[in-house]
Amino acid sequence: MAIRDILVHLSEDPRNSAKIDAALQIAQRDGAHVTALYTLPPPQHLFYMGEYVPPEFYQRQIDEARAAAKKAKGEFEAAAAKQGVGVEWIESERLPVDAIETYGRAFDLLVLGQPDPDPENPVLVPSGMDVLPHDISLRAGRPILAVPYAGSYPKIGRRVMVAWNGSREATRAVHDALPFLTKAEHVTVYGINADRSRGTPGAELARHLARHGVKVDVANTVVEDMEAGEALLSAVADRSIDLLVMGAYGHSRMREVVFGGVTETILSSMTVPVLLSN
Amino acid sequence: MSAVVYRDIAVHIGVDAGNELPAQLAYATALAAGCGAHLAGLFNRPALPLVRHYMPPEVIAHHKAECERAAVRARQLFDAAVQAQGVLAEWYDMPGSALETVLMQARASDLLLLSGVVPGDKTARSYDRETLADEVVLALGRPVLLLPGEPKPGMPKNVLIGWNGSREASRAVHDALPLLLQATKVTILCVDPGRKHGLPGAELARHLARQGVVADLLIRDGHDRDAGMMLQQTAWDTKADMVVMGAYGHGRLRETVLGGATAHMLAEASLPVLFSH
Repeated sequence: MAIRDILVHLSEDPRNSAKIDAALQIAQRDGAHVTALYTLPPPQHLFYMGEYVPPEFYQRQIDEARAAAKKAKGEFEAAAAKQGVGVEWIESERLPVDAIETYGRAFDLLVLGQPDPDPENPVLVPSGMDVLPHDISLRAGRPILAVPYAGSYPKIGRRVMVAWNGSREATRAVHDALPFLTKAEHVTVYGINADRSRGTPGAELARHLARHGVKVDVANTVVEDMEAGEALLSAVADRSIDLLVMGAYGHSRMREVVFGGVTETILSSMTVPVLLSN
Repeated sequence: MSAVVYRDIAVHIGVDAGNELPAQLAYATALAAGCGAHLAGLFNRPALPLVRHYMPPEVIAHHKAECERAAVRARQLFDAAVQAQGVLAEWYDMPGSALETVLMQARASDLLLLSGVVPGDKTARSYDRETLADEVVLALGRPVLLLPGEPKPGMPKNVLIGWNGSREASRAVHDALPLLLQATKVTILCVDPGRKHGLPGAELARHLARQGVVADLLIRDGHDRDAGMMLQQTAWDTKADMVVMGAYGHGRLRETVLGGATAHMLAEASLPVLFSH
């Protein structure tokens, strides 16, 4: 499918511009609309305050949050106008994970930020933000593009690597990534222990992708399960990859304890945008 | 190049496929031709169930001969259907269970066609088709089109979407886009949308419009009836020739969907149903 409808999540976050840039870049390439979903932080009640809290305390937080949203909206609309991309703006007071999950179902791609492992001001980071891309990828039913918390990515998806282990999740990810793969200059199917999972071999996947017009080659590696994350990260660096495509694994089942760990490793140490699907 | 197409369609052919097979293969080849896709026939030869430590050689020989007979018949019917439509095709004849074969091959496809429960079919089966469909839909990671016994060949023209705002429904709609884009009529059915907090059908209609699909929105009061029954009734009312819906977890899928209304859709209305998880 083609990408026509992108949702980008914004919040009181110094990395809004990186997410906006990524969303607009893809929108411009594919002729898509971009909808920004801005989640307002809930007013905080501090534990050391007594039973009476002056209303101004909350009002001021609300005013500041609204002002920050207005500023973000201005920046988003200006950036989109410059690139000639059609936009919409949604403001929500719901928790980010709930708002994105609900709205996200009617979009082709959700652009989220990689959680900052060491935020400048941890008090201001709403709860749940540290696992946001992973959580959403499991719940939304749509692909997530996670943008790293540092650096800029003007060319997403020229050299793409697909992390392939033959699983259901990897199958989802590679098909969700087709709009990127068909436009990439080069795609590598990177098989990780693919023969162990009794899943589809990487060569079969490459044949299938070639039928979609994807320029693809296959590489295979066998590593200890616990080291799969590191192996992926170094392959990304060695091959100058600018987009990593991978399945997102849950936390519950035994099999997923291992792969779920890979998802977490990548999401905490990624250096390029990652497309995640479940 | 646009990616809103199926390039690879797979159809599973059970070793115990019965009289429904020619009609199902005609449907599969017509769909592949309409989509401009390759068609892969997936045939599996199951192992003999080990009932004793010692299996008499005659039993093993008989099992092998039966598998061979079924394989030859399936291959002949497949080749004939493929030639009739002039589609490009591949044939996979693999040892192992139906589930293993399908999971091994169909993940490198855009869509898998699977035979649903055939009405009035009293043949003893080497596996339970409901169980297979249940397992495959949940584990494959690709959409699964369950076929009725006698599907009418041809591209779907009038598609009904069962929408409840869930993750699975969203998957199903996006997986079905290549078919929705070629249909002349698409209807979104929402049953009792006010009761749940899911995304309204109007949002889906807006999104589909961006993708180039014009859809009608139908909001119905369920009156506490099962959503599957409502879907069946609406499929009848709108004269749909395909239904698209999300498939939920184990058990729920089998009881409410495969065993209930969907079984009726497959059996009585001869409607193919596209499931995604």
